[in-house]
Amino acid sequence: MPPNKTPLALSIAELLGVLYCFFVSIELMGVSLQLFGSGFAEQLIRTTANPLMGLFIGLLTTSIIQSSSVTTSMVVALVAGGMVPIANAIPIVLGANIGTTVTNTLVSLAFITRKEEFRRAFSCSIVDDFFNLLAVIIFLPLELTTGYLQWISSLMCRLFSGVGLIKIASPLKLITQPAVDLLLGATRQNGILSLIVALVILFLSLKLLVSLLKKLVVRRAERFIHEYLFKNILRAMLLGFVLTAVVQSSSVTLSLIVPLAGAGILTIEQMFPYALGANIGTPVTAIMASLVTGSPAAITIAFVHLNFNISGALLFLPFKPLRRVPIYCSNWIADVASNARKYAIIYLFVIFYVIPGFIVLLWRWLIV
Amino acid sequence: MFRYIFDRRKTRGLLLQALEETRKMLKREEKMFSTAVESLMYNREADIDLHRYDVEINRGEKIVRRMMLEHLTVNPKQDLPACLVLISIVIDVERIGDYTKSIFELGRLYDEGLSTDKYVEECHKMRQLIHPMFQQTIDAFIESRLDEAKEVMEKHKKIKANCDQLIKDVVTKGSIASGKCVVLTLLARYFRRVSAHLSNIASSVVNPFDEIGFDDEL
Repeated sequence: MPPNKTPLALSIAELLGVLYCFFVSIELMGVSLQLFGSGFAEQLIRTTANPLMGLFIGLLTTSIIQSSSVTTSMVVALVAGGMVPIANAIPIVLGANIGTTVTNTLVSLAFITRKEEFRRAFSCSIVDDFFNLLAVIIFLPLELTTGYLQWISSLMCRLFSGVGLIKIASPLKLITQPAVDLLLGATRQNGILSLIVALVILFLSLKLLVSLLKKLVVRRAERFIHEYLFKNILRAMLLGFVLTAVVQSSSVTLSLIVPLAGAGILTIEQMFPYALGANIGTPVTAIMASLVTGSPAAITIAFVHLNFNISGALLFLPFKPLRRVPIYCSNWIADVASNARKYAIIYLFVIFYVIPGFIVLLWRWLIV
Repeated sequence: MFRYIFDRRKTRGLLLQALEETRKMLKREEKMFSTAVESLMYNREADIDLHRYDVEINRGEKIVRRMMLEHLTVNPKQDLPACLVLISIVIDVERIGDYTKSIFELGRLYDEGLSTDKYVEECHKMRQLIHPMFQQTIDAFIESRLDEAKEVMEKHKKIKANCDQLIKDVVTKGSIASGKCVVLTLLARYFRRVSAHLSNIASSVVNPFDEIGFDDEL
């Protein structure tokens, strides 16, 4: 029996509708945060002032909601609303970059009953964790001392403003305004209520957006996966980038190929450039969200996310000895975890939930 | 099932490619079979490199398996039965390559040529029955032609009985040289196996998934 198919026009209409909801949620979040007043902003700035804290907040939030797009979109809205300065937002975005890898690590646990398959799947899943951890260890101190990410991103923001990118996106604000006004009216301009509504819409719209794009794109992408993933580093990276930029979820594109790794068809060396490409494709959602706000600071933070991932790829990919470091670490952890599989669970909880959770709570306790 | 897949080639990239690879494997084997049997029975030089063909067939099996895994990884809910069938029958396809290569190797070991007698005549008849089964199997499998598939399965039943009878006659009644006796016995055995694997492939069109490769055993 032929499977039921949604007509393409209907899928595109659904997609536009979901995108509209996404833009509305970003706008509504920005307005809602402004309703909170300056006291809230001061507290938020104080909480995120410590870069390590920002990093762990980003990591923990993303690990819990399993979507860096949601976290970075929220950060974009906070920056656009002036609630969080760019400098404070950068570590949160970098933390989100680490947190997003939890999903494919969870997917690899499906292989836990078969030792060798699990070892292969787990090592391929966590290679992106190690890459992100190492990239943060290198680039966060560099950013804190030189501010190079913010500088490049501001420059890019000015360049794009020059070519009218913000102007092109500005009608979005006009289109979303009636819906934002309607929702604000419905919540009687109550900051907390409208923020909750904005978060629910953001979460649902991104979930739907990814699901729709996955349906539209991924099933047609198998030939590209077959032709690009196994060829060479650049092709694999390009595939990871394009697929993630289109599907708007690195969790989807990375989780997608974990079974291939488990079956032994895909090696960790082939997976690594694909994962780096997926990282570079991830900030597309944040860039879209930032364009809706029209705020140069928000656009800058979205570009910071992009430039951080590009920096990581430029450092780790061309140099074989450096490239081997995250691969070696992943293989080592995977060997340990495949011999005693409880360590896989321990690794997952400690890295993504226990350490960041403990530090965030401790910090909250200290500043209160 | 597979005809439907061919009709929707744009959306079923890898499954379609895997089917095409399977078809190519069977076409190669058809050529291998005729070359190997002629080489053994008429002591003719092979005009193709059978070992290279066999390597290509083995490579084809790996490609099909890999494509099916990639297809199911990306589209797990789509074409699951078709993929499982293909993974299952590609083993039969590869085995045919092995048996035709064995026929060829037998010919190289026994380079005297098979002088005509009633047993050799019987082998000729079986060869003439088996050779068209390759194209019939391709048509049956790729185009989902039920009648062709049933015909292949019926032919196999006949070949199976003939092969068993031939082996029995050669071993118990014949007064032929031991070398020729071994060659005829092995050839009949290989014919039976080639025909059985072709029948298994055809049975994927007729039988439900769990019954592929099985006849009505009750």
